[in-house]
Amino acid sequence: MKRVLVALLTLVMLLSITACGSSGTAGGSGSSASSASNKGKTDLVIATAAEAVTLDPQGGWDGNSLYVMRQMYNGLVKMNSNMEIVGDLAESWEFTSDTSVTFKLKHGVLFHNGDEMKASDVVFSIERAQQSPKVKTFAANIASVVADDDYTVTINTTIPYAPLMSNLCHTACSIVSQKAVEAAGDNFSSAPVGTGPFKFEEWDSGDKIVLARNDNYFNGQVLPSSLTFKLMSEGSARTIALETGEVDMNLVVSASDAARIAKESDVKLVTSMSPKIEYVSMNQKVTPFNNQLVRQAINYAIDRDSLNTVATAGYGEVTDSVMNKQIKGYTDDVTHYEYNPEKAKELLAQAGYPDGFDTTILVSGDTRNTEAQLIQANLADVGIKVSITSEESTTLLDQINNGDYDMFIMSYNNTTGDPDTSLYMLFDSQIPASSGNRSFTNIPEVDTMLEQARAETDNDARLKIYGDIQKTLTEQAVWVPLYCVPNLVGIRSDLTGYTPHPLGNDVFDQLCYQ
Amino acid sequence: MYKYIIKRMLMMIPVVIGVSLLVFIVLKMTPGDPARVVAGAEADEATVQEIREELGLNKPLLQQYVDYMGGLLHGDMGKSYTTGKPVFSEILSRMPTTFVLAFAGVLVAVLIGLPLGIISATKQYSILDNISTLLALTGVAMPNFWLGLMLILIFALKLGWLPSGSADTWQGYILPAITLGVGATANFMRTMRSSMLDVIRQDYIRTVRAKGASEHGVIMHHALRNALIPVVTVIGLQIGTLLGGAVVNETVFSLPGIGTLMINSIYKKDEPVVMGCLITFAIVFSLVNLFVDILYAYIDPRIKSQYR
Repeated sequence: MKRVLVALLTLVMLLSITACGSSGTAGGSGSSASSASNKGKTDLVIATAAEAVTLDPQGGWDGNSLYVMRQMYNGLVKMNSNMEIVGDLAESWEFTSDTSVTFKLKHGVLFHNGDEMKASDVVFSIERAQQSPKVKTFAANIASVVADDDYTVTINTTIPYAPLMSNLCHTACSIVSQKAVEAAGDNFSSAPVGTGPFKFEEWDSGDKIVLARNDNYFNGQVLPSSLTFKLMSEGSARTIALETGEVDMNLVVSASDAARIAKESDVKLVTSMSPKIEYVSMNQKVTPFNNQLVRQAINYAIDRDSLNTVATAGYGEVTDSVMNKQIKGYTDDVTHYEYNPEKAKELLAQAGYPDGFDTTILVSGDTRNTEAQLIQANLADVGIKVSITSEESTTLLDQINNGDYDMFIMSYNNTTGDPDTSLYMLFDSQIPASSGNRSFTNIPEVDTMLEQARAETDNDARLKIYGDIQKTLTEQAVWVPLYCVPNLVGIRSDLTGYTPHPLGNDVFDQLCYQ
Repeated sequence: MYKYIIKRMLMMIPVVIGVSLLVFIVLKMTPGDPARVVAGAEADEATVQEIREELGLNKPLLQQYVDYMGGLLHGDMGKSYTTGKPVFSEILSRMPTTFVLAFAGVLVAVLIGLPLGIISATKQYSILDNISTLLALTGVAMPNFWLGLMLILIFALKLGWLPSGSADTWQGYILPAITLGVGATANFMRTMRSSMLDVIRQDYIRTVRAKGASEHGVIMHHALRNALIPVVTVIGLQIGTLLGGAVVNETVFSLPGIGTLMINSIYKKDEPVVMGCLITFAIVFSLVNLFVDILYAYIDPRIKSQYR
């Protein structure tokens, strides 16, 4: 028995020694190996915090799926890094009336299966988006999609609908191969075929998604030979893997690791702003939050700068408007509520609450819990006693949608970059809480302006209306806008070709080691 | 013996029904609407309703359960609400990772725990005994995820000897297996020690000694096999615990196992996947227990004679 044990232990030891030897030379996993040079390395590994749900653009649009899908698909149009709408698969387009736009398609664009992309695929894809409950909001108000010939498509809307073009930029309106979808049936997500710079290779569920370079890409040379999206749900594991060179890029750097990555020489931190805004909502259906003065008082009472420092390590940006600054039509020409507890007390007294009141705040998750504690302390200074209720996210949504709350903290992610997406669903009084108006905002003036802006075809006039809407909403203090949520990405120092897109629509076709 | 095994296998059917019913009821009782999760917080109510119908969540609960069990009889665990992939193949593809991890963890624990236990028992109250007790307690007191991160920091980041986690190579399993095993080591060591102490005070051991057998022979040939029975029980139970404990490890080391699948599905209220994972765990747990019972028979012939 003892001899067996000794033999086994020896074996284990030998195995681990050989393991150490081989990983140092071949695997390139050691930190010493990685710092040598990555020049010429084209098979890139990108660490993600959560797995994609689907690779079918008409099958869902959660952030993790979007990241991968953007590498594989194109739409008719896209939003460039200056937030201008430019052609993608469409060469040009023309509005023939308020409700009709005709697209000329590029010739010779090939799908990953080798077939040419034609107008019929466009009609098929947009109609598919309209029929999918998960993404149809991005194909809203479309009356018909018509193929005039193989390279011309006309989209007719039911009403003059200005957000149409931004919606067409969304991944949900990506063009898929009709033939491939029909061949795959329900399994298109496991055998996706698009026109993008990378084509699908394999999806190892719970581990990684591998994409390979599309040599026939219509829009220039693709530098990486492959992209592997590696799922690493633990934040520090992603940071360490980036430092050892096991991954070339970490898409989600935890705020607590940001400083560490920023000061290492082998890796660098790329910070940018996401189209997401973090906010406190107040239930305007219940007292005392139906009182504008109370809502303004709360805006004055919360020290948003400190909160931003704690929640995002200072990488976020405090905002006055209810809309993220990345979104078109954003204005900072709105009521500024500086941190001023005295002013807050005054307003509370005016509103008839000189001694404050008791209330609750609903949150989900660790970061928001911390935020709630800061808000609790801030509000206690002006006499408002807040108790924090922490719920699991689906329960939280249920309670909020039923109007069963006083205050809650949440964020809103605008994936189209159009102000309509941010403002219409969240603040139009006709929208039920379950669909977005969770603060129960009811301002007739705002409703009218929202409808006007939707139908306004002149872009400048339209954005001006959205500016006015932001002014009114801020003056009414419908929310406490906290901060624009930052994107923290870590990459190897010698990896070039990454410029964060304002909406997070990053395409990795130009990533390259120097 | 075979009759006994078949009988035990058949007993797994009520176990599976019981587990599935319990999990189903608990899942349905917890607040939160899976259709809302699938649709996303920004979706409107009509969309959520459409998705609810698509997933069959508008049917009466009893029918939902009966439908599910009907499918299960044919090996169909349904499709994931979020990804639409068949649950069975999803679990199957992750099973090897979880099992390799759990068994490697047990192996580490056995290789360290049993020798230490034997030494502690035979040299009771010696320095060696105290040191191994101390080590064992340290091991059990260290949080799993912390030890994992420390090992990654040292062996992956500082020394660069091993990958910080990867299911692609067997080296990727070394750190997770050690992390997982260290917690169980203490358990095995303490059980081995007390069981061994019991045995070496028995009359027949005194007889063996009186006959002049060497100390090595006494321990290895006469005492060990008898002392192993409680240890085997603990190992069996521990495999179950390790399958569950692998969850933390899978997360820290980014390994694609059933544990992470289950945790993520719980967050997303992906009911078919949660059901599938728990039923799989229940079956595996039953099988491991059965295996342990059979193992008793081989260690102790007296038990074998009872299996009729």
